[in-house]
Amino acid sequence: MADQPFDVRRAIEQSSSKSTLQELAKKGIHRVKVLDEQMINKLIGEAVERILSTKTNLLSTDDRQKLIDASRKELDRLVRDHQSTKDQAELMTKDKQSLVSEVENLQDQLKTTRKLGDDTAKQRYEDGKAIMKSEVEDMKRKMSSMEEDISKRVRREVELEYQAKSAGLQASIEQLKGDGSRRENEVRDQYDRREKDLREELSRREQDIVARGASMKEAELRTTLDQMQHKNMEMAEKHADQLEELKKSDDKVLTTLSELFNKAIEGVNKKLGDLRLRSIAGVAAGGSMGRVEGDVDFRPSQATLDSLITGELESNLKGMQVEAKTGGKIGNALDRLKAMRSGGGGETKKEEKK
Amino acid sequence: MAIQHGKGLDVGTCNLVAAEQNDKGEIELRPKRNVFIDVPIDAYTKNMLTRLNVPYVVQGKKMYVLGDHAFELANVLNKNTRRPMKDGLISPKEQDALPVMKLLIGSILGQPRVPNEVCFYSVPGDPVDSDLSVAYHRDLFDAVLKSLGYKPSHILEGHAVTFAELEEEDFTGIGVSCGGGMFNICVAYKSMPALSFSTSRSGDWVDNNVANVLGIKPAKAALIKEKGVDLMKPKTREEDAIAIYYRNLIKYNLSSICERFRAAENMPSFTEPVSMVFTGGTSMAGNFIELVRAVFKELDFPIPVKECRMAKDPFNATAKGALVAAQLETSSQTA
Repeated sequence: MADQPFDVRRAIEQSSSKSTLQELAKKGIHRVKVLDEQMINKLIGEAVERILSTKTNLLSTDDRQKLIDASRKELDRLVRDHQSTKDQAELMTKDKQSLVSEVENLQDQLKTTRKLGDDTAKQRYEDGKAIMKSEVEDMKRKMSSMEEDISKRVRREVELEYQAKSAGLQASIEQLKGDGSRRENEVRDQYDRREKDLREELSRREQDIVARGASMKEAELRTTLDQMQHKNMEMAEKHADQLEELKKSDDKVLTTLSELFNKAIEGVNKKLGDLRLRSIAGVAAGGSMGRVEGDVDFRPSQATLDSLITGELESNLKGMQVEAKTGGKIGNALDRLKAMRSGGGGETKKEEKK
Repeated sequence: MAIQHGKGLDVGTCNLVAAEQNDKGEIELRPKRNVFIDVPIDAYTKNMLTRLNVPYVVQGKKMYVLGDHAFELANVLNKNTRRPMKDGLISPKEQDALPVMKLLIGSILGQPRVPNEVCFYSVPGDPVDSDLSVAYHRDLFDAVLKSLGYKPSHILEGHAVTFAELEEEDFTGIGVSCGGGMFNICVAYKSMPALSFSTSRSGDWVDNNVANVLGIKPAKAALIKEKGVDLMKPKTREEDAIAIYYRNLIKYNLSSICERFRAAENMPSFTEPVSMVFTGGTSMAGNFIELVRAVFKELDFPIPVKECRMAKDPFNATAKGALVAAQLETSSQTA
C-alpha cells in the first residue's frame, strides 16, 4: 500500500459532500470556483514537492524517501480511519431509518390489529344480536303459545266450573220453582177457600144490613169514626206537649250536665295543674295548691288568739323610738286608683298622657 | 297638708316595714328585721342592752334580743337567729313568737292616729309548693292589729307591688316580690288582681344552701349576701356559691310562674306587652335584674312581657303599695 500513489479523486470524494445548485442557492451561495481533478492532483504534487524541497534540504535522498513513505503511510491510515468512521455513520443512519420504518410498520400493524378487533367485536355483537333476536322471538312465540294454552285451560276449567255450578243452581231453581208452584197452589186453594167464606159472610151481612137498615149503620159508623178521630187528635196534641216537655227537660238536664261536666273538668284541670306545679316544686306531698274540696284550714279560735296576743311582755322596746325615713310621695297613684275604681281609669290615663 | 289616714305594713319573713303618710305628704317608712335571738336572762344584761339601745323582750324564763341587733349578734356569736315566720307565713309551730312579733309590729306602726285606723298588711298568695295555711296567718295578724287598735285588712303582696310600681301602666302588669321566704307573684289588670300565687323558695333558700355548701351558718351567708354580691361577676368562693344558687332560684321561680300562668283559667288577655317589676330584699343583690333577664330569655313566657325591671324602691315597695290600699279604703269609707 505504501507503494501505491495517493488517490486524490478518492480522497476528495471521501472528504467532501455533494450539493445541488438549488441547495447551494438556498444557503445563499450563488457562485462557486471549480477545480478539476487534474489540477488538484497537480497542485498537491507541487505543494508536496515544494515543501519537501524547502523543508528537507538537510535530508539525504534515502531519508527523504523514507519520510515520504512514512507520510504516505500516515496519510493512508488517516484516509482509512476516516473511511471507517464514515461507513459507521452511514450504517447508523441506515439503522436509524430502519428502526423508524420498523416502528411505523409496527404502529400500522397495531392500528390494523385494533381495527380488526373492533370489526370482529362488532361482527360478533351483530351476530349475537341476530342470534338472540331469533331466540327472543322464539321465546316470545313459546310464551304466547303457553299463554294461549293456559288461557284455554283456564277458560275450560272456568267453563266446567260454571257448568257445574249452573247445573247445581238450575237444580236449585227447579226445586224452588217446584216448591213455589206447590205453595202457589196451596195459597191459591187457601185464597179460594177464604174468598168463598168471605163471600158467604158478605152475603150474610148484606142480608143483615138490609135487615137493620143501611143508613142507620152508616151514621153509627161515622159517629164512631169522628170520635176516634177526635181522640186521636187529643192524643196527638197530648203527645206533642209531652214531647215538648220532654225536650225542655232534656235541654235542662243537658245544661245541668254540661255545667257539672265543665265544673268537673275545671276541677280536674286545676288539680292537674296544681299537681304539675307541685311536681315542679319538688314537693312530695302537701301544699295549699294540693288542697281539695273538703280540706279544712286550721283556724285558731278567738280564745286561742286572745291567749296568744294578750298580756304584757317585759320589754325595753316601747321606750325606744324607731327611726323613720321618708320614701318619697305616693303621687298620683291614689287619685288614679280612685278614678279607676269609679270607672274612669283609662280615660284619666289618656288625658294625663295628652 | 291634711294627713291622709291609713297605714301599710309589709309582713315579710325577714323584714317588717310600716308605711304611713305624714303631714307633708311624704311617706314615712319604718323597717325592722323580723328576727330575734335568745340571750341569757339577768339584770346585768338587761341594763347593758338598754344602755346600748338594743331592744329586748322577756317571755317567761327566756329573753330575746330583737330586730337588726339580733341579726348582728347572731353573726358575732356564730349562732342562728330565730324567726317568727318561715316561708312567708307564721307557722303554727312558732306560735310562741307571736307576742314578740306583736311587739315588733307595734314598735314600727305606732299608735293609730284615729280610732280604728285602717291598716293594710301584706299576705302571700296561695303557695304552690308549701302546705302552710294562709288563713291561719291572716287570722293571727288580724288579731294582732286589732289588739293594737287598728282596723285590719290584708292585700296580696304581689298586688301591693303593682299598686306601688305600676301606676304609669294603669296598674296593669306583673308584680314580683322577692322576699326572704317567698316569691310572691301577682298579675294585675287595671288594678285588679287576675292571678296571684307564691313559691316558698327565695332568699332564705339561697342562704341555707350557701351555708350548707360552705359549712357556715345561714345568718353568716345572709350577711355575705347583704354586704353586696355582683351576681354576674362573683369574685370569691362565697360569692360563687351565692351566684349559683341565685341563678337556680330565679330559674325555679320564673319557670313556676310560666307553668302557673299556663295552667290558669282566668288570665286576662293582654293586648300589649306588660312590665314585670321586681321588688323585695332578695332582689337587691348586684345585677339581680340582669340575671333575671338572662334567665327570662331562655324561657317561653306565656304572657307578652315588655320589660323586666327593678322597682324604684325595691325594699319598701310592698309597704308603699299596702299604704296606697289603706288610703284607698279610708277614702271609700269617708266618701
